[in-house]
Amino acid sequence: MKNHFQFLIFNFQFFIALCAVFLSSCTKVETYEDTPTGNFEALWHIIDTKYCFLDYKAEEYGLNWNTVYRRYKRKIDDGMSHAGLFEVLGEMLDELRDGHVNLYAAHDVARYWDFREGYAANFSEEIQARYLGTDYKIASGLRYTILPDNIGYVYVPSFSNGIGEGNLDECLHALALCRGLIVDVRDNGGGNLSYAETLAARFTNERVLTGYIYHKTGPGHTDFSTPEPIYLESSDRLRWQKPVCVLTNRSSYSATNDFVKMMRTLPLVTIVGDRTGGGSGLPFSSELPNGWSVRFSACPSFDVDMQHTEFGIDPDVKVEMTDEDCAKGIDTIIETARTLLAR
Amino acid sequence: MKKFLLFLLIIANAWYAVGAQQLRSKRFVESALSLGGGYTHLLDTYLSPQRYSGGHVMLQSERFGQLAYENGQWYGQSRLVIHGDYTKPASGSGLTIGGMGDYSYTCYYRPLHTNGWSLYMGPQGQLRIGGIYNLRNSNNPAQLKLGVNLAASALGKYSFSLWNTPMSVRLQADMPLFGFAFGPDYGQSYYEIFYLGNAEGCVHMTAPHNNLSLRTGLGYEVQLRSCTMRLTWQEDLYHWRLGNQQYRMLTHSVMLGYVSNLYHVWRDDEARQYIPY
Repeated sequence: MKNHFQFLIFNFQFFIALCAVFLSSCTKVETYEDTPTGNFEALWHIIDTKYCFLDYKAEEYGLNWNTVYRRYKRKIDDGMSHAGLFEVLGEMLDELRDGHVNLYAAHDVARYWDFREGYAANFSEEIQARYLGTDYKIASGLRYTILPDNIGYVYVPSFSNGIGEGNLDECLHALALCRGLIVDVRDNGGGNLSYAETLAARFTNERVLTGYIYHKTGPGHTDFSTPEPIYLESSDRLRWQKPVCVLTNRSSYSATNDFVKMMRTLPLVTIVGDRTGGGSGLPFSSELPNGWSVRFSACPSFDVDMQHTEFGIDPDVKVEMTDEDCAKGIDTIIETARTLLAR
Repeated sequence: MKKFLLFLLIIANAWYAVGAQQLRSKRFVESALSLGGGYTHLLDTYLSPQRYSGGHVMLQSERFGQLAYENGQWYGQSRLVIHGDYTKPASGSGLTIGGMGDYSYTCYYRPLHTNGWSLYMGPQGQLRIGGIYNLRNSNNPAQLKLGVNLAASALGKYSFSLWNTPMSVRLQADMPLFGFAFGPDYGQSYYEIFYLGNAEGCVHMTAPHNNLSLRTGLGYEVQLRSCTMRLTWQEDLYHWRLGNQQYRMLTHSVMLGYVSNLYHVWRDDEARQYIPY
C-alpha cells in the first residue's frame, strides 16, 4: 500500500512539473475582477489591444486612448451602481466616434449614432412611398418598380436580408428595358458584406479592384498585417449594362458604405445624395467580467486609393432634400438621379 | 471533396492496419470503448478574454497492443476521442458550444516493466479537428481547430490490486514537437480568410512553446466473466498559442468503458502480465 501512495505522489509531482513547463510557456492573459474598476479596466484594455482605428483617429481628431483612461478612471468608484457604470463606460466608448462600437447590457445598449443624428435625414419613407407605389415587387431584400420615365428603381433597405442570385436575376430581368437604374441604399444601416458584394457584382463585366483590407496581428496600436487587395468579381449571370445612380445618405453605414465603396469604382455608376455614414471596420465582439458584451471595429478596410472610409464616402453629386420639395412630396435626390439618367 | 475522402480512407486503413498487424503477431490486443462526461474549463482569447466553464460528453475508443518487434517491447496505441462541450462564463451571460475530434497513433517502446510499474515512450502522430461557437459574437463567432502534429509521448502506469480488485493508475503526457495548426491571426476575421481568401499566415508551425497537451488518468477495472468494465477518471489539458491568441482547454471526465481483448487471454496468467491497464 505504501508503494501505491509513493507512486501517486510521483505521479502528482510529475504532473505539477509538466504544468509548470506548460504555464511558463503561456502568454499572460489579463484577468479582471467583476467590480466597477475591474470592468472599466477590462473594457479599456479590450479597446486598447483590439480596436483598429486608435492611431488613425489620433491623427484625425487627436484621440489619445491613454488620456481617455486617466479621464474616465476618475469617474469610476467601486460603490457605483450598474447603471452609473454603464453610463460612464458608454461615454468612454463615445470617444471613439464609431457607430460600430456598442456596449450591450440587459437594460440598454450604448451606441454612437452622431454620424447620422447630427445631419439631415435626406430620406422620407412617406415620400419614397409615392415613388414605389403600392404595386412594387419584393425580391427578398430588394423592393423594385419602374418609374413613369422608364427608370428602374430598386430600394435596398438592409443588407441583413438575404439577396440571392435568383432574386437578382428576376429583378434585373424585370427592369431590363429601363433606360437607367436607381439603386437606393439610403437608411440602409448595413448587414452582410457578402450580400453587398453579390449585388455589386451585377454591375461590372470584369474583375475590379475596389479596395484593401488588413487586420491586427498583435495588441500594439500599429500591429497590422500587409494590406491585401479586395477585388469585385464580375457575376456570371445577368448583368446591368446601362447607367446607374446609387442614392446615399448619412444612414448608409457599414456594409452599405462598403457597397458604395465598390460601386464608385465602376464606370457607369454615379453616387448621388449625401455623404455616407462610414463604418469601415469589421466589428468583432468581446465581453466584460460582468457579462456585458462589447462590439468594436477590429479589421479596417480602405478604398482603392488606400484611404480610410471610416467617416464616410462623398457622393459624386451632392444633393440634399429641400424643404420645398418635401412639402410637395418630391424626393430631391431621386429627382436628381432621374435627371442624370435621362441625359 | 475527393481529397477529403481519400484522407478518410487513409485514416480508416491505418486504423485497420493497426489491428491487422497486431493480429498477425498473435499477441495481446486490448480494445476499449468508453463514454463519459465531466467538467470543462475553456479559454479562447479570439472569442472572449473571459474563462468559460461547463459540461461535456466524451466518447473514447482506444486500442493498445503489442507490435511484432523486439520480443514484445513495442506497443501500439491508437486512440480516437470525440468531445462535445457546453460552457458559460462566470457571469452566465455568454454561451459556447464546442466539439473536438482527436485521433492519435503512438508507437511505444517499453523500457521499464517491473513490479507492476510500466513506462512507455515513443513517437506519436496527432490529428485534431474541432471548433467552438460563441452564440453572441458578431464577426468572430467561432474558432476552427485544426492541427497535425508529430509528438513525443510518455505513458507511465502502475497496476496493483486493492481489495482483490485490479486497479491501475496512469499518466500520459503528449508533447507535440513539430506540426502545423490552423488559427486566424490576432484580429483576422473568417470573412477575410474564407470569403476573400486572404488565408496567408493562418497555418502556423507548432512546437512545444506554442502547443502542449497532457493527459492523466486513474482507472479501475472490474472483470465480469469474459469482459471487463473500466471506470476511469481522466484529465485532459490542451494548450495552443497561435497568432498572439491563446486557446486552453482543461477537462475532468469520468468515463465508463467496455474493454475487450481480441484473444480473450484474461485467464492466461502468462499473457496477463502484458495487459496494459
